[in-house]
Amino acid sequence: MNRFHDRLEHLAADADVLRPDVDALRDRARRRTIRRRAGSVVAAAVVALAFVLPLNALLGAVDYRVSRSAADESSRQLSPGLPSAPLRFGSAWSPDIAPFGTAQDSLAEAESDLGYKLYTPDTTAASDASLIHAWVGTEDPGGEDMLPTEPQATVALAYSSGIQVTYVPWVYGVKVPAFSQGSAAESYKIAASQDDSYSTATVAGVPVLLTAYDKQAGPGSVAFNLGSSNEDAQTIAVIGKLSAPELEDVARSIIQQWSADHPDAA
Amino acid sequence: MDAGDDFEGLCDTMYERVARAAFLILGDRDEALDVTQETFARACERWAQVSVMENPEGWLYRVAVNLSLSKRRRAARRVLRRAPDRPEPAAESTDPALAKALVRLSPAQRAAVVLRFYLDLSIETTAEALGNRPGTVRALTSQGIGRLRADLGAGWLEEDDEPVP
Repeated sequence: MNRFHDRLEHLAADADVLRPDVDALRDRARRRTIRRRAGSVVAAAVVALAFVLPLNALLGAVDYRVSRSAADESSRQLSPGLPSAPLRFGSAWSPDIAPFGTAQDSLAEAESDLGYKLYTPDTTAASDASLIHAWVGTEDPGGEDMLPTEPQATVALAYSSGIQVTYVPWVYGVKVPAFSQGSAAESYKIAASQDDSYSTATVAGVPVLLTAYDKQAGPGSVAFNLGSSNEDAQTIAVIGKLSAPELEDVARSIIQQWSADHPDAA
Repeated sequence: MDAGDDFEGLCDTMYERVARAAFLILGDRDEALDVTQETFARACERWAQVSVMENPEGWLYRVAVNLSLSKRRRAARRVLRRAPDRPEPAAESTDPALAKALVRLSPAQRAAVVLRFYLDLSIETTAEALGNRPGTVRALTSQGIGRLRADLGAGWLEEDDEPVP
């Protein structure tokens, strides 16, 4: 032991920790289990809404053709499980324009302030070596009956190849069931069935929602959710004026790193 | 869920240590106790998996750190709005200078410093608990110690105070 350790130990004693009430902890665990099981029987429409809302918020944030207020209005018009407006980025999209706020940081600064780990791509088209912008912004709380109740940090990374990757932590309803990739897949299928510009696929075992690059409509994108619970889930989008395989390759790199860190996640 | 006597044993040996580490990371007793209770409730809920882990302590630290950092996500707003959003150290701290210096660190730096210097975890184990790469842990620790040195003055951390690699 050393002097600094002792000083920390001395300060930590301020926590005044009492002997744990093991029965209370077991009760809390039981309540968590009950909540989880109850959540799994909530209607499929609510499940779909949980996935499409954060995706819509993400894509709406980078749609330069509409004003913020217009995007907010479109969010309010969402029907359960279905995006109310085309989730396209527009021909004015550029990887060099910050989608969230204006603060620019180094990758290291952004990572140290986020509170969650950034899984950055490592491919020929996008790697830390080819990173040219790192922006940090915020996603406001969703309002009544939504969690978390505090703003969430969002990140956008731009690479010299013209690829932009965005990360948006989940904002979700208090009654939505636990996060699952199966539910995400269902939501994406619904979205694709309603709009021909979308298609679904699986990349490294994770369901993704694809938008093909079109000169008029804007860049292509691969959007997906990663997480092991509602609390740590985030929506990630790989965006660029590139082919679907090229964008999927970047998405695969991110997913594989996440999967390596979460071997127990289905 | 079938948490038998072993879960009680884990609580006996680890609860206070996890709670104290969470307190150093969060700077708030109530939040730290809430994080600790949630951590052990999750351990109880997943006891079938946790009880057979080689290193359940590492799992506990990881969950507690993740929950603590989630509580501190608001700090990210500071990056955008340049407005401080940090916990206030307890008014009656036994070491107000250190408490104040700790809350000036970013949550991730604070977590790295606490895991390395208070829990005496190795860089590898700290990286596992934080879900970061070892290089990121080295950087976070170095930045954190640098800021503590600036706040607390030279000489508070001696050469032989360095934790295990």
